[in-house]
Amino acid sequence: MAAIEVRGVYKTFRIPHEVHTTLTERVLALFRSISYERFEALCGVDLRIEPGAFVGIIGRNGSGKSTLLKVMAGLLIPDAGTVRVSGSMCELLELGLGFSPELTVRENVTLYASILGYPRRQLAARVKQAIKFAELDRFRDAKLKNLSTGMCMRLGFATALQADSDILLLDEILAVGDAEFQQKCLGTFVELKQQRKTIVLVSHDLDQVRRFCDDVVLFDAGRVVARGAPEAVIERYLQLLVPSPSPRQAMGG
Amino acid sequence: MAINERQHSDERDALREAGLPGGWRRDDSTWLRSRRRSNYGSLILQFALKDFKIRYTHSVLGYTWSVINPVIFFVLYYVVFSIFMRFDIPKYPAFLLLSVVMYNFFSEGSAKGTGALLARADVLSKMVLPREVVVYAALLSAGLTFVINLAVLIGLLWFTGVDLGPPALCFIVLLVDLVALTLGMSLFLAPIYVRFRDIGYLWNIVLQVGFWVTPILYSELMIPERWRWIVWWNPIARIISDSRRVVVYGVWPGARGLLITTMYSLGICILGAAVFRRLQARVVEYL
Repeated sequence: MAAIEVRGVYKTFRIPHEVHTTLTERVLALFRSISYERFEALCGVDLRIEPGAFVGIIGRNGSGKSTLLKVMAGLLIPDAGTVRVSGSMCELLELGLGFSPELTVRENVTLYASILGYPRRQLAARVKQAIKFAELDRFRDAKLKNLSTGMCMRLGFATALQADSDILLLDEILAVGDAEFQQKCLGTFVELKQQRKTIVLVSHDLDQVRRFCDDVVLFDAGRVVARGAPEAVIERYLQLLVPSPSPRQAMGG
Repeated sequence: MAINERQHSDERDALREAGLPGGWRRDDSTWLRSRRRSNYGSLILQFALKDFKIRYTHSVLGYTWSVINPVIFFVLYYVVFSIFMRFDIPKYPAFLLLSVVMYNFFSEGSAKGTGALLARADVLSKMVLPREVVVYAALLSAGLTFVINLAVLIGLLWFTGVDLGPPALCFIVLLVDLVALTLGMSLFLAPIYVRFRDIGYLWNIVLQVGFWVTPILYSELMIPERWRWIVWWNPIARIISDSRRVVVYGVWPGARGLLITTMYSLGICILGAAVFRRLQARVVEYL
């Protein structure tokens, strides 16, 4: 059975043309029909991801990668099509959700761990582990605003990695912090791979994709245009970039 | 291994293009519940604590502000309505503080609850959570202040020599009504507020008007007979006037009146929950 099965998924966003800047214009606009820009983010995507696969998704900005990830996570409801997920899933679309500069490191990690859904009984232990992994033991009770940006990201990454879900969805969050910490993160990825977790990774870092993914999917204009071994698909992607840019506007990854 | 399936369809041309058998939709919230094994109790608590902690950072007096604020207003109202205007209401201090504390919870809770989805947009747009969690957290955060204020109230009751009799047990029911009413209004308004920001301003005005239209500073008996229906139809006024009866005066409330108040509050809660359930699935797209 597939870990994730996406069948015939369509998703269109309607983006209103908002040009009413003055009050009079706004009042007048009430009587006019609102015009929308239709943006087809996904047009009939079929994708089957087997358990234990490390799948990379590449493509230009606005090609639908992030939308697909959100649909797989269940954040967005597709206009048509089905998504089947078997196993527990954890979506890491952004690191350090809910972090607040006014709270201490420990308070922030506890909140983030709760958002990620760690069971209550393990919460304290996981929080301790995460702070240790991020090498921020010394700053446990310091307010987050006193930490550097890199340290905050490390903290977010370390907490997120405690998730023991079967499926991980990652959106451009790999390798944060300095070179030493990056090495540590990449080590964790090798570990996750050995544990036969299913991982879907959206990335613009082609070296990373080459290094970890055994299966790469190329997106363009909301469609899957190529899939297969990393080298061949990345080659295809680079070819795609060479000709003049398409009129499609870049809209949020 | 748990299998979750979501099928979505819309009467969209995309459907025909895809050649899919459309027609049924599964409620997304049931899927959300089955997806994660953890309960959301600790998350609600963490959100509420975060709110509470952040509110009082950088202040010397910290949490005491949540006591000082109602106490100052209580003294002000007392001076104006008991010394300057000389309302002839027995046990006015307890009468006043109880009403103000209850209305404050309703007003703070519903205002925060309404804004909760937007306030936590960063988390909700990136992580799959049952969205009502943030509304519960907002109410819990307002509830912490409420509990502190109730403790001050108990001190005042003792100080002014008001004895709690057996009728005060009804206050538990009235507290449940108050929470149900506040929760119902929050759940009802929160998803609508995401689409129409006017709701925020509108609700603020309703709360301010409500403070004067509801018998909080004065007694409902001071209202001329032909205007009493305003109190009868106002759920928060029903709750407050019954609370004063049982806590301050130690009189049993009318069973029928209490039943209507309870049904009214629970009705609003159920309505709010139904609206929230219906609107929450697509709320993320508008955050």
